[in-house]
Amino acid sequence: MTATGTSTGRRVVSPRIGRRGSGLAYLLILPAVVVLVGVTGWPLYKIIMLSLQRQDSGKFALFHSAGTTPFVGLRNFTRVLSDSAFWTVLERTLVFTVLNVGLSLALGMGVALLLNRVSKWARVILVAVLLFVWAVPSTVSTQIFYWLFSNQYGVVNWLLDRVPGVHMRGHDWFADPHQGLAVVTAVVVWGAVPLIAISLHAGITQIPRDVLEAARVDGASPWQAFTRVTLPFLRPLLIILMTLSVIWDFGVFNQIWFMRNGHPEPGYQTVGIYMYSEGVGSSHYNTGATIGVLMMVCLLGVMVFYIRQLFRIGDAE
Amino acid sequence: MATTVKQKAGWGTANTVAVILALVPVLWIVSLSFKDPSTITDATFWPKKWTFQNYRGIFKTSEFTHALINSIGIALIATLIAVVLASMAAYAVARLTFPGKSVLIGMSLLIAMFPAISLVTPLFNIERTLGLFDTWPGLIIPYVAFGLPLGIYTLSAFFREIPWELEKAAKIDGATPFQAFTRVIAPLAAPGMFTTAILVFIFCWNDFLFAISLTSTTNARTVPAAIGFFTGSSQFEAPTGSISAAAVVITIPIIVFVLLFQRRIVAGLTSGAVKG
Repeated sequence: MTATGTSTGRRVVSPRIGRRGSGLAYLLILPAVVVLVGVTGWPLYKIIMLSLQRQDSGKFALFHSAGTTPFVGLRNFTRVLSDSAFWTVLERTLVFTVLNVGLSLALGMGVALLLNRVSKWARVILVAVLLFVWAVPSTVSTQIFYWLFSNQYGVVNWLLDRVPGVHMRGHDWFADPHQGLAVVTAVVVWGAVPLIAISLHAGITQIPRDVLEAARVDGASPWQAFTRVTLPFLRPLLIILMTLSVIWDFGVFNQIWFMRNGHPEPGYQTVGIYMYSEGVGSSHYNTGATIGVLMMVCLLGVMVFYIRQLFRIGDAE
Repeated sequence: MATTVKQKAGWGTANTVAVILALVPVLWIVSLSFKDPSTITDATFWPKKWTFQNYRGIFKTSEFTHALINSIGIALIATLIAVVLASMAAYAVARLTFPGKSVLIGMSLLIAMFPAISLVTPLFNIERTLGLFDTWPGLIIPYVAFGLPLGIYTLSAFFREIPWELEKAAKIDGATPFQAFTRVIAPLAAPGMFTTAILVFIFCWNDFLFAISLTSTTNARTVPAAIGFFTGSSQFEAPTGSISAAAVVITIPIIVFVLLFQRRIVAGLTSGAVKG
């Protein structure tokens, strides 16, 4: 659908280049394709092969070609899938993803609306601050939040302790993985809001003024104007931001890994962490690869949906 | 729009709260980095006594200085390569018709979305067999690969906006193709390439996952990964001060970028949103 639409559209614009351009085009994209295939295609092939081969003890087996390790069909998969640990991890990851995506989108929308309402200078300051937050390395932000919630000198405990009737002095947020993951959620959402807010703000400025004006004249409350005009307008953009956030949050790694100092306890394991500690961490590469394949299968639907959405709004053309 | 004073005050307050919530964590790490190591746990927001001791400390260790050199070198080289390759591909995507174009776009989008974490394990193995593990190229190559989709995507959006008729006009006026390109098209394309370079650089600079998995010594370890290996200035001290000082140091280039190129970065980030 898109391919035919594109080629006819292009031909109108530049007939000459369109005809003789194929060779040149392939030459231009070749280096990019080589790098992309080398860095993602090869590992992808490797990970699928590994997931089908016998689990070998020791790292050594890995460095040999496929011929030396026998294929075992789907045995790795049945082993991982029959391990209850995997299902616990998957459930935890899903809850984490839903919470983080929901919070990021809701807060991002709030900030976008705020950006739309405040005066120009206030907007300039807010955008600068948002970009700043967006650009702070996740390692740094994780470290900051770890200290903010630290039991010895964390500002959060100190603040909460001041509330009458609350005794939080010395409270350890990381003893209970649920509370620990709540802190992780704070970091993830803090880092995710800026991109969502700036994108949604850009989307809101595209809404024709007169449509909102008409809604107001017809007696719509601000809430009605938001749900009936703004939200439908932003729908395509919201879907894209949502799928992106799902993919990112489902694969969360840095924040948890860094928060637990490279040794996440079982209660902190999401799919990404689980795969890494099973694979690289304990040299069970075949198990790690199998979990990786399962993770991609989980996300493939979301990714296909995302790309179709991009093509649909004609953005990827 | 007729907004009352009360409403205005309300939005102003909300704005202030948002700015404070966003900034407090960052200000706090700055404050920690200037605290004397012995007073770091005193739970005051600002240091009682400002000191550069933490900064002097980290710049004395090769652990940090090496990592800083690695970070700068690797991010710059990867950005340069990624922008050149992405420009070529984006030009083809924006200007030329060729069979398989939508496959290419779809594929690069898929890769951009790919959870990098799932490819790290096999990459680790491949790099060890090829001898790329713990070297600069070992990090540069994955960075280029993951910077490319972002680059192709942003650049093709920029390239589509360029008035290419100008190129023809220049040729009619007697310019050679080379002149038409360097005098007319290149200056128009430069802002987009620059924006892309900033985005890719920030991605490389901030990466932790590849840096921690594909390095093992100070040979190629970048700052985000090195922070995890810090020790206190004496072995009885927690490295809080050094870590916060290092965090501030690696955040400085980012602040400079954001302050200088705010509008460009927003344009790059929203190149998808505005068209939607």
